[in-house]
Amino acid sequence: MKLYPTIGLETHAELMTESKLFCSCSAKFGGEENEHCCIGCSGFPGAIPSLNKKALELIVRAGFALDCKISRFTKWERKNYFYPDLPAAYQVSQMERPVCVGGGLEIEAGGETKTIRLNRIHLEEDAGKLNHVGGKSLADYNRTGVPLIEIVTEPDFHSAEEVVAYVEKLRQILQYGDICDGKMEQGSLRCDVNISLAPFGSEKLGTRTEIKNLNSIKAIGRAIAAEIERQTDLLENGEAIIQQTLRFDDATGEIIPMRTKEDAHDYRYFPDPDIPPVVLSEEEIERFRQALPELPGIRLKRYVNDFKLAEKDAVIILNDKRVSDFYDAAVAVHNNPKTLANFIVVELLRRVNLGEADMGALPFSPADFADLQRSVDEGKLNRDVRKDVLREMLESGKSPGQICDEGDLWLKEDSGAVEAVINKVLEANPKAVEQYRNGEVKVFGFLMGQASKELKGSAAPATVKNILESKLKGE
Amino acid sequence: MIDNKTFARLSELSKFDFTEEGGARFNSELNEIAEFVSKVCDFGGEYDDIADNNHVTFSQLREDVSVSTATPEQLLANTESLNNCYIIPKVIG
Amino acid sequence: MDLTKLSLKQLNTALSERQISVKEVVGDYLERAKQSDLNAYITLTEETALQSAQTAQKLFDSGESTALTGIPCSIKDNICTAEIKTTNGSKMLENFVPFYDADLIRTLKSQGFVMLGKTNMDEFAMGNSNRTSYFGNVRNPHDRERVSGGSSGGSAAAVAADLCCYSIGTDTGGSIRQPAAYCGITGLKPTYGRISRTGVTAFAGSFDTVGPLAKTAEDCAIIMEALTGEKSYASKIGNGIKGMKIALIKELFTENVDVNVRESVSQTLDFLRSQGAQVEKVSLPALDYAAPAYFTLASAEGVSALSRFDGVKYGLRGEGATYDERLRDSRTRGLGEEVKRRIMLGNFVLSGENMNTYFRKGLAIRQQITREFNALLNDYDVAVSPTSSRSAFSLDEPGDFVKIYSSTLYTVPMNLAGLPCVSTPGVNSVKFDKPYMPIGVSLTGRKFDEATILQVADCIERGRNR
Repeated sequence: MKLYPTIGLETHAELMTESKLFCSCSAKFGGEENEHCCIGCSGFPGAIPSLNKKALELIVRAGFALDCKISRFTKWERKNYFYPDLPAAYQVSQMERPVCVGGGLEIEAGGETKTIRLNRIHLEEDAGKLNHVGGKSLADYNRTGVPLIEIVTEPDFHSAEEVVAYVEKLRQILQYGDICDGKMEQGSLRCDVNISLAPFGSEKLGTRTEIKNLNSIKAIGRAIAAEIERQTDLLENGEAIIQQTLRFDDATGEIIPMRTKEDAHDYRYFPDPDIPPVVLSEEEIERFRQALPELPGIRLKRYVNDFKLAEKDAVIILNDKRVSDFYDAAVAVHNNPKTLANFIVVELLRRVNLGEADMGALPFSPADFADLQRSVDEGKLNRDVRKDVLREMLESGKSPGQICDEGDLWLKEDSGAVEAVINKVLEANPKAVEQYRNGEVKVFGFLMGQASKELKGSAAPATVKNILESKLKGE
Repeated sequence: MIDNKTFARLSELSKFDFTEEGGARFNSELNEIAEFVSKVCDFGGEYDDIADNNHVTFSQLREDVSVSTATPEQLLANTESLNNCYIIPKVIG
Repeated sequence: MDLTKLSLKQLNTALSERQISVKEVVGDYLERAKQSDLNAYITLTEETALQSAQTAQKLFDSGESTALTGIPCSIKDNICTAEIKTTNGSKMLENFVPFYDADLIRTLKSQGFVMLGKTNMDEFAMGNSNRTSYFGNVRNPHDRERVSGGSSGGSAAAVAADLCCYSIGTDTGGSIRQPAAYCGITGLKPTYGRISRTGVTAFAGSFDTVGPLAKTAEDCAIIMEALTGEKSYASKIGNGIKGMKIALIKELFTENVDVNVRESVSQTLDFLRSQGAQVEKVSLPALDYAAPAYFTLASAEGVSALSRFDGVKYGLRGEGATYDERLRDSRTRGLGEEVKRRIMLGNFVLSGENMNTYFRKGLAIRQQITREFNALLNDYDVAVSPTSSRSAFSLDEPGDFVKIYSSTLYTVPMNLAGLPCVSTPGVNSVKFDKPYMPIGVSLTGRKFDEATILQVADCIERGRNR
């Protein structure tokens, strides 16, 4: 009996807003404990929530990016339960009328393309953080009330690989949409995974379990594999799967049941009496659609169709939004997308991978980078020199022009200047000149090297070769 | 209407402890009240949230600007705290 | 001249014309408040009051005074006041000192108000006799053996007994109007949403309103203008009511209403007719469901509003080795019986399938009542009804919950519909109840049309004082 996994995913993504969902506290990550808090997000008497309009715009944007239907009428419910990371003892969430309904995301996994259907996306508050110290916990409510969207899929996945492909693509879309920064290590994107196993072809799904709070792509893949294995073992030994909530221990790779009370799940959702429903006009929804930044899929088409990049290079550039944004800014300054793409893929990303450069903190602007490539493209600078100039730019932050001026790196356009340098080289190496003229043509390479060294790349190799040849033969 | 089991579940949801005697009296009072309230079940109409017309429009929502209105010291002034955090006894669950 | 007998308006005139000083009037009120045995105040803030009096006097001296400057008032104890205990009438918050002021307190402070103290109330505003307060019963100034009404019982008794010139209370299901009726003063529940609730402890967010309790309708109007910054509330005070169309709500004027109350309401309507109003009896059939719907919805909202009291952040810190044990102990010991009944009821109507059979039905009833009320007010300017089916009852009357809950029928419809409603003593009410106890008449108006109901209340007041 071959068992076949069916998997559904709930992804929580924190929105890139300045302030929290229902109060004006900062939504920034970090800060001193309980520094980004007020009577609202800390659950004091008398707080009245006030919905953040940016959060609503961002979830609508996510809805467009993921092909959802946007609800014009949307409202919020309270989800009631006691837990110390939830100071009001209820979480404001959306049950009946989420902002986004339906939708889907096309993924590629195992050489196949398939669409994962979405059930809904809704807007809710994040909970606080508990730090366990000794027998106690310390509650910090800085994250309490940070806006989250929960993206719920249909149970359309059948392997860890598909889930990973989905999360990677989803993350990229959210980042490109300026919706969520996608920093999984900071918890700004995390997933709950529902898994059940059933015999292949069976119409009935098996009992499902839920693994909560997976916060890296790697952990998602590992946790799903581990849970499939655990369930398979149980089923093959004739044991039943218990419907329960689990967590994944990243260190040991183990699946561990979470201790929860039996009837703790009567959340008693009801409309939040302090938060009026919101009606969006068609015009507003259209405005949000138009404000949707260019998504990776569209950018890829632009790079391949308009910029004529090889798809492989385009994908590399798109992989990190900061690289792609840098590239687009550079192209805006110097309209040679192909050479700039090459420069980024071959040189800049190499530096980044070597740890010599950080895309988040480059000491130069895309315009400087573009200027450098322009100089090469316009024949003012030897192509081989650009990597040295780039390194210098990374080290000193100086502009490419200044670096070339100071190092006398510009291509010598005046052939007389090149001739003068070559004459110097010939004079300094009479023995080699002699050898060449006696038919030992292989010393040409040595002389070429000496000339290039003196010229520091400031003349095109072909020019150097021509002048050198004519000097050696003509005299 | 509210049997012992339901009463126990409601107490758990409310996080109230009752003595046996107190609970019995409370349960019977609650039954009278629930009986009174159950008249709502007879109402024929249905709720229409959109027709309620108590919504707001997008422009009435709060601008996304962050403002600090309290300090940790103020928030923690009415309780025990450690390292600017609320102290919670051991959490089970 | 007994300064504590003056209305807000009269006091403002006397202060503006320098006939008296703020210090004098505050001193007189404080003296009375300290000597009172009504238990109207939970906390008297004498020192703060004297400081505010100085600030207020300066505003008069510099010509920057407003209508409320220097007028001694009281604030219901569910309205947060910075650095002053805000107990909500509960053991849970017996020692809770907020660091923040409610929005309305800030507004009042900016106008040089003088707060004498925080008034007693039913615990978390759940109750209508002030007997659920952890800080004890409030006595009715007209008969010390009777209840003040509630939940703003302390506020109403304080105004009636001249322990303050006016008070700010809250009304979720009648908590301003019913005690105002029992204590013989004027209390206004404004339109839902009219006054900021920020800093006011929530009980049921879709019902909670904040409003004034005062000696006259005009005073209520002045307070509303000060709180909202809008000069419209007093605009019709003193205007005649000739040609006004008034509806008497049939479902609230039945045999269940005490004969004395009915008589007082009838006399009041006669008086309004004599002033040129046209009065007709109109039916609002859905009101049959009003009280059960109110208890369904308000208790449900109360569940989550009061879940934040967990002993972690503030308030009574229970015993217990684990979070859950402490949570239970804090709530079990910190909350009183009525609050527990409401929370248990709220959980009952929300839990499992009851969400559909109870809670959602409550929403449907509320919607129907709102429709019927609005249709009525399309045809009539004001709807009249008794504020309570009877006058203040004995402090010893046993608690029959169903009877008590049913009795809210006269006030909750206006909360369900979110409409403004003022309670004012009826004309000649003296004659009908023995011993003399005040009887309140309620006037309900269109959304945001407080001006008209205050105009009619003012008219009735003139009839009373003939």
